Amino acid sequence: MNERWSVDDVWALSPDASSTKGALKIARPASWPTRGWRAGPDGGVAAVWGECEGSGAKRYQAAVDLVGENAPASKCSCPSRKFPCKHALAVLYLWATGEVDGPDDGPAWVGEWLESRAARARGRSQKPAEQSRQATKQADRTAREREELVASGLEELELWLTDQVEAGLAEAPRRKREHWTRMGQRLVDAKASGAAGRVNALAPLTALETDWPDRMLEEFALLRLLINGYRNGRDLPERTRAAVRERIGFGLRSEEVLRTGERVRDRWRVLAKRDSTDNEAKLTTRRLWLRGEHSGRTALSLTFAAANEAPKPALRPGTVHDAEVAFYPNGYRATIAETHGGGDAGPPGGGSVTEALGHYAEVLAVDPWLDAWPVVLADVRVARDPEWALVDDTGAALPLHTAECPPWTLLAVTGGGPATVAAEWTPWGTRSLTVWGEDRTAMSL
Amino acid sequence: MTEGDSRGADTWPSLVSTALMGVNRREVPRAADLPATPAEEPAAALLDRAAAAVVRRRAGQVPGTAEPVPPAPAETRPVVPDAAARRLEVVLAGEHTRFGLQDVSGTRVWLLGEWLELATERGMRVPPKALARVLDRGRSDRDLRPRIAAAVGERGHWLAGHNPKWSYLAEHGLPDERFDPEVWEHGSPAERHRTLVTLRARAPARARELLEGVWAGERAGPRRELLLTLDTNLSVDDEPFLERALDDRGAAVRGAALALLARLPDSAHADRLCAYAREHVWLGAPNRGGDRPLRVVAPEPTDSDLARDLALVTKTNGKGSGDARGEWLWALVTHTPLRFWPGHLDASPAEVGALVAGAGEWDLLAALGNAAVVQRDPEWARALLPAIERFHGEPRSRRGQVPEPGALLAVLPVAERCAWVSRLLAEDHERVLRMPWGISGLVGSRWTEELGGRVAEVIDQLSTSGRRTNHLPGVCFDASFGMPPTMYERFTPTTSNPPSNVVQLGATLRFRHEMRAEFG
Repeated sequence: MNERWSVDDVWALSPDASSTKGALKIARPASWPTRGWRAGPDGGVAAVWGECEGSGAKRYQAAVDLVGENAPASKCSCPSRKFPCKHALAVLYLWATGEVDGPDDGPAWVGEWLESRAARARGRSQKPAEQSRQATKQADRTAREREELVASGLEELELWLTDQVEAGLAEAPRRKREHWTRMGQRLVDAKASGAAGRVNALAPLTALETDWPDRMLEEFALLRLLINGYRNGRDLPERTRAAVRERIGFGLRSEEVLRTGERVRDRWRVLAKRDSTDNEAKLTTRRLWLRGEHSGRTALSLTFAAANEAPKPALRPGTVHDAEVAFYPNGYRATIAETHGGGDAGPPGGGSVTEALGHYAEVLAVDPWLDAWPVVLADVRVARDPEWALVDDTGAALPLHTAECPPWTLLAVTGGGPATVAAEWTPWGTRSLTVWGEDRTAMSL
Repeated sequence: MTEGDSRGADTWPSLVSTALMGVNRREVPRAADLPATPAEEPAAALLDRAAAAVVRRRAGQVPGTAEPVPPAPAETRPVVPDAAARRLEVVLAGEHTRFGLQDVSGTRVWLLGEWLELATERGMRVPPKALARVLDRGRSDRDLRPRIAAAVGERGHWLAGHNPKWSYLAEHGLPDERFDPEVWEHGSPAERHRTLVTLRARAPARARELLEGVWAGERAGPRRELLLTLDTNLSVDDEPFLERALDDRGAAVRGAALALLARLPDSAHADRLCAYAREHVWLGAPNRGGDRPLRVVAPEPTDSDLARDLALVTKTNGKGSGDARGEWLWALVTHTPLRFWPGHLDASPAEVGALVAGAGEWDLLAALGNAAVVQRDPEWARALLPAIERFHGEPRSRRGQVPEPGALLAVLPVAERCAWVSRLLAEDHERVLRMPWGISGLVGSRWTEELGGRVAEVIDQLSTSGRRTNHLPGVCFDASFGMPPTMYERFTPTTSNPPSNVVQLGATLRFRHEMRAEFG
């Protein structure tokens, strides 16, 4: 983004409320005797920097890189362990409110930091070529051992599933907690954390009031399908094979994806954002759904942030970015490689309910475990009878997910009129995430 | 739930029941409708078939049908500017504390109330995204309801119609609402009341005629509510109907009719009460000094005509008749037109106050004060204020019926109210601060510059005197919401170390000042 950010964009980066509070307190021009922004090669804003007068004798030096790898990235000489810290937020806030002038390369420390970032990025991309043969050999051995470990874990999972189906799932609600957690832990030990997550999600199903046997059998069946998929990996199309491996737990580091993944440069529209926080693990998961205007590709940026950091990337739904993304092998998960600026855009082109379901069916053929896929519905209205739903102008309806009902804000924003809605379609209904109201601006729900 | 629709007659239910029973006890169902599964082992075969069935169903989901909700009516007011919308988000989220405001209960409600007022004054409305949260605030806070109703626009009223928890909104109208005969005929009691209020504002006689038309058929509760619509544009034309309502079988309806009649000083009812008052309060024969002493005799609670005119019930003699007599005197003086007294007692309103206080007739003084409040008479309120205020200062405890000075002040124009308190503060601010009502309890929360300046001086004195005082927090809290927000600069922290109450006062005023500016 080289357009000036909005204040909302700045707060979207804030790790927590106290950071926002702290930043607001110091975001006064008087506290920042020197501040400025640096221009990138395209003349846009590449970095914002400033020196903040604090209680101590030395000024804090804060800077935010807006365009480099993993941007926005911040640096500050203060001792805070939060990223970004309040000083970085404050200087961004000043910039967003028009209190920072430029272009101005600033003091030497700004350039030094940016250069060190760039050097590290270059280093990362060159390292693999320099790997020794020995290291490659070692890596191969590690990989082989891991495959064996996973295979044994899945074998155990298969036995576990079989035993229960033979004895009958009716027993499930009476099982002790350990019954589920032991299998989950076994899979974690076998380095199949994805499969472990699916197993751990089984226990709460028995608490469902109505259809727990259906849900339980569905999940058992999908686990069985995952085991089959792993064993028949060689015969599967590449993307399906990648989906299987990712869902089992063969994660790829984003550096690897950046190096080897398929790259697509496009005008990427940010369709929707969904953050979910796991309080136990103190981890925030951010799902950003992007769509390429020219390529038509759908990209899911799935990132995790610890309690003391803000989830990234901080892209706001409703904006469009000239960016290059690198795809994971499953063909839709992606990581953003480079951005070349962006800004607000009107509603994206949407389709009908039937088209949306058609798209989902297509991707399900590649990844049958997929249980959330973005749909952009044009001219849909909210319906309440016989259940809360979105109806398109042909009268076709998609029910809303119970977690979203009653959808008061969606109803308030649309006023019962037609609107463009970006939502996640799931087997249990749609979750509306972004709506473009009468004024054609995006609103996250 | 959503998947059930497309399950149809497939083998899914039999797969589920088999899985529940266990394949050791039940044979895996044949699944002619599914692709063949290679596994031989029963458990594996069952899961493979179930997997095919699940994915097929998910991929084969077909759209349902549903009826869209009828769209909201068009808006006449624009949404507030972006900055004001952001401010509303801050208040709704309780994040005002990060601006240095005190985190006490009431602050949020107060700020929300002021925000809503500002939006309404400027002819704007709450942004749709915030509507659900604003409507939720009104569920727990009655005082906010009229302001919410005025600021949420057509969309807010439409939205509230979809959620029974927001049904309270139906009682309150939009500022520019018009009478709707459909609603009057078929609406809920709250909606009918609301639409009649709008008609009363435009065509008082027509509204009264509509009410008379349905009067006999309504139940007592709604009758009272509907009768109170006459409060707007009340005139002598309403007298015959009010007389009729004074004979109503519902006590609450009679009370409402009496309260309205009391504001028509030239009615026949008023004349009748004057005649009664003449019998119970008068000047006696001159004493040796030439003064005519004040005589007060409370009425006997047996007179059925008087009972009717005061919406009371007669009592037979017996226990508690003393209390009943006091109550009757109170009711009589409260509703007797104040215009009666100067002629009758040959004294100006202020002199009447002095005379009554001098004679130690405290019940009469309280009732006269109450009359000024009920009849909304500024002249009398002004005249009785000193006596009533002094009365409250006395340690003697009287019946709790003495109106508070704030109630009398409320009858006066804001500027006069503020001037009165300013003068009192200048004379002896300690005395004002000792009063139990607080400055806002006396004048409300829209202070003049003059009063604001005076209070600021008092705060300066309190915070620099070095003497410990427990008045400072209360004054600062009142000032936070009463002072004109432009005065925030007066409390900008300087080098010295001001008390935290004063810092918070400055922060609150600044917050309100910015909030105001954001409406453009």
